[in-house]
Amino acid sequence: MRFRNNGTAHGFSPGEGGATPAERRALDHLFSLTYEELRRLASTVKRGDPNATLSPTTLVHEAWLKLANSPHLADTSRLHFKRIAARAMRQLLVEAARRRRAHKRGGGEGVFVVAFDDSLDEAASSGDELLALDGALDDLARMSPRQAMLVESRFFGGLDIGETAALLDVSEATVLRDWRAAKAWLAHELRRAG
Amino acid sequence: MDSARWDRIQTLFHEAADLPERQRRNFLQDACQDDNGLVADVFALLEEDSLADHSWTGT
Repeated sequence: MRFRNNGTAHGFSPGEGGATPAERRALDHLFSLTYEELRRLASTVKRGDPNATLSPTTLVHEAWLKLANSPHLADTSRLHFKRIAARAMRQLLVEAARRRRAHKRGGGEGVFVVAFDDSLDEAASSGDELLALDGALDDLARMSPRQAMLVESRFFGGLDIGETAALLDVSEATVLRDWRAAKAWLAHELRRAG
Repeated sequence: MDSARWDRIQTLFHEAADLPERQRRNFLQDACQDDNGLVADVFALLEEDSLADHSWTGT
């Protein structure tokens, strides 16, 4: 769990609903609930087939279907949920990739594969690529928190352009520009690292 | 890299991307003056952008 100097746990900024202690507790609770549901859904996929590809967008969507009618989410919009779920999904996948790397398992254990949404034009990522992406996103966040949030929400939460614009309170044209530049920068960073 | 430099790189990237390829180097060299690092950084983005299949224009 990462803490930022000016933010809540998990790296959310105070502006994302953590301004007061009560709000931070609510956000933490919502995050934990979401994280657990995503973890449960991912485990179900893997139990069915250890080599199965995990699709963050699909998992987030299924978590929403599961939790939407829960009283815990009475005050949470689908958009807000997806944003939180994107952060939780990223954390879940990074932790799994780190565990796998730490254990240095051989080929018999199945390949760690994450497939991002086809519309995002991203091929499946190995655990190492995912960890490189995670690091690059942290670097991007230092340069532009908004862009990092944009990329995280789209890659890990499956937000489309319209939803991302609503989330960030900017125009769709701005989202497209920021997305284009961020993707190019991340691709360059991953190429350098890989 | 700091935010200000990243903002500058992005502005130049979008401007250069709107130009025909053959005009980009001159444009960037004028815009960046002596900062060859800046020109290189923008070209790196343009290169990656050209490799992407531009589904960023879609959803």
